Amino acid sequence: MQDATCGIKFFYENCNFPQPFFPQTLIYYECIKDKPQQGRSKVILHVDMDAFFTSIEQRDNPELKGKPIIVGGLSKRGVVSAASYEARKFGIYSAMPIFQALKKYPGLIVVPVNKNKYAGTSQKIMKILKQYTPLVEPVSIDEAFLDITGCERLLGSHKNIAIDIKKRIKKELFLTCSIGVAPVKFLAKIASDMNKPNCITIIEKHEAKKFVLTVDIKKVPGVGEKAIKQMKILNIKTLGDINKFSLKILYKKFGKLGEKLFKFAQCIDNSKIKPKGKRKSISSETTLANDTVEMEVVKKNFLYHAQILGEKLRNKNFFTTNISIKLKFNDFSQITRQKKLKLSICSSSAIYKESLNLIKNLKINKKIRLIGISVSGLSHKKKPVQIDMFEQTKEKIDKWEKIDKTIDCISKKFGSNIIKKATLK
Amino acid sequence: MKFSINRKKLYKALSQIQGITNNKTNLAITSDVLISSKNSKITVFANNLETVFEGTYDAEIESDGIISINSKKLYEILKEYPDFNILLNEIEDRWIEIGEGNIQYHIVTSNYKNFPEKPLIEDISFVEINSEDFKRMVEVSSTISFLIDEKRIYVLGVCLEKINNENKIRMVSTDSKKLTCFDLEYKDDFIIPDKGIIIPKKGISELNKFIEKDKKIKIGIKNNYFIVKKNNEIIMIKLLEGGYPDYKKIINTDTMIPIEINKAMFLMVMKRMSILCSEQYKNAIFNFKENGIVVTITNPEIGESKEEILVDYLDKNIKTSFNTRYFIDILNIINSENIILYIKNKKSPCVIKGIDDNKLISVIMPISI
Repeated sequence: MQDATCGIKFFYENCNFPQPFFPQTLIYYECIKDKPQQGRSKVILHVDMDAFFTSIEQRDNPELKGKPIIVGGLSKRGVVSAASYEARKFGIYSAMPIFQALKKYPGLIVVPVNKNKYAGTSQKIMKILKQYTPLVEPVSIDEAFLDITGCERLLGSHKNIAIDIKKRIKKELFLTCSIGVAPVKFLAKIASDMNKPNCITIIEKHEAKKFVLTVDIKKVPGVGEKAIKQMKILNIKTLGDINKFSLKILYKKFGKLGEKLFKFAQCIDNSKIKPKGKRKSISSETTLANDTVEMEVVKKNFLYHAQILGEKLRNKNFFTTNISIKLKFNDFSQITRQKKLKLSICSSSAIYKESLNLIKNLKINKKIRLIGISVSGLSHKKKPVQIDMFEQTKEKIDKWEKIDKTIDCISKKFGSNIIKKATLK
Repeated sequence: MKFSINRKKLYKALSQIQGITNNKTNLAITSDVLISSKNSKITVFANNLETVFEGTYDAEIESDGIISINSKKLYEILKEYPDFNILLNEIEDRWIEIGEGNIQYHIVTSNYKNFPEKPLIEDISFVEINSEDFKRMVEVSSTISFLIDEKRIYVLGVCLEKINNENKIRMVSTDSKKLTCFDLEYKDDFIIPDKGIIIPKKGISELNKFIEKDKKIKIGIKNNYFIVKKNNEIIMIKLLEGGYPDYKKIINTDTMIPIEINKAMFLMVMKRMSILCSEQYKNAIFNFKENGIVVTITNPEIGESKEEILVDYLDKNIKTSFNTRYFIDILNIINSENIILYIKNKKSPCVIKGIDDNKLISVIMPISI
């Protein structure tokens, strides 16, 4: 097993700066000790798991170790969710259709997606991270930002913290990660990506401004394909090149992104680490086996998702007041429609009814590829409802809620297949 | 066409029809007013396809004719015009000159032939009605409004019906959260269809402007129109078609517990309570207990308030919730020093009657908590 510390690289190593890293770190450390509150200087960590899904699969099945594997759906229409480093060597990357990946390397091992396992592991990782600082912002299932400003006295230097995190994840979960350390958020993300996999990259505060100028524009978060095309025309290759343009021109060319890049080029990133709050929404969606225009299929799918969402809501004792539907078409365009409800609901039938109301007013002239419902505005308490004089909507919904809760109990006891909506059989 | 008329007289007529002509319809010309002059009288006519107004006024007429002119602009001109009399003169086809001497307007008019025709209603059997009471009936009913996207007929209109075996007519107005029910005695034989008629609330608010307390009012129903006549003016409102829900169960207080309370004091409590209301948190909790009502409101964004009212109440404890704004709306239309609140349980409505006001019964639906 490789020692976690071996992977540490300081950016000036890569950029051929003359100083050896050790004394530098010490000086910086001293600085912090003397003036802990100095300015707005921060220490941000970006922890990014290495080939998360495939690493978990390889960990759990030693036969897969060292082999090119991908995680993805098994159907013909599936795409690569994640590719192991061995597979990446063949030019296979995530979001690539599986049939294409197989063309590149026919010996590829396809492992089915096990969402629950990944989510569980992700939770364990976040739990570890939260022991270092409460300011943990999970960006996705396999990466998170940490703000460890001011933690040095308690936990040691930021280098030690990074090493410690890496060691613990390796020890407890047998997974490797890459960590970027920098005084601003966007640099931390760039740093973690610089020496992937299994590496720590530290960009010190006093070097950050110089370093920013050398960052490849393609690596900057927020710069997409469209922007890159424009950059080529303007001959912008690094963030340093941004300084050649005025804010006005950048704003005209790239809108808000231009403004952001202008700040980035001066090593300014005011975005804060936002710890994950309470659960805000639950959603359920599926890509259909075949694209469809049939309303019956859409309805059936809505019913299916409404059942799932209703059960999840009732399980967690939640009520929703906001329902939205999502449709993706065969040309990959998508629409969402949402509605704020007067009543707090958790019954599947009510969710189904509302989703049908939402689609009723839509004119659909393209084939539908993906159907989903999401509920938000979650609370544990029902919102007070003005009772209507002549219509008994509330009573009806309450009755369905009772029925659904009974069905949940039956399903728990005898299995989820024992009782179902007849149309979903 | 050329005539001269008392400015105030025409101004008053125009001010009564602004509600009708400002109501946007598919037909642009409905924002116009049709004025015709003949035999030393002019007729002012407005029609927005739902409500029709016609008034006849004396004027000094030099030549006969008909014009269709923008109602709002004419109204504004009349409002600011300084002289006692005003001259309207059609100088060439579709152009009209208003005023004389120093002040002159040159206004383009529409082709009067496009103006929607007056509904053909003849032989209306009118009955005379106490205008003061009728005005209050209309006022009370127009306090309960509706939202723009409303589609329910019984919310869009008020119900006018006859009470069996009594010489009374009743107007019921509701938005399904609160309801007012106003009874009015009459002497003559007034024929209303058994199931009642539904008059649109828009028309009712026009009526509110139309009825004057000290002038004789006659009402009638004919050819799907509700018609109100006042001397030389007449207003016709097209009725809505649809059923009206059974509200009688709701206003029945036989099994309910009465609580007498001073209106002014209760209104003050409601006003103080509504200070902490917001769009999201508008329900106050009413705790009816021995010899008192405890009203509390909690708004997590602002804070909370609590008030206790001493009342003569000896029944079981009831905890229920209402929107305080509804109480304010209702209390403001009750003409009585003391009122009676009727309640039953946490899901039952609250029925409100004035002790000295036996004409009006109001209902507020609770909020389920």
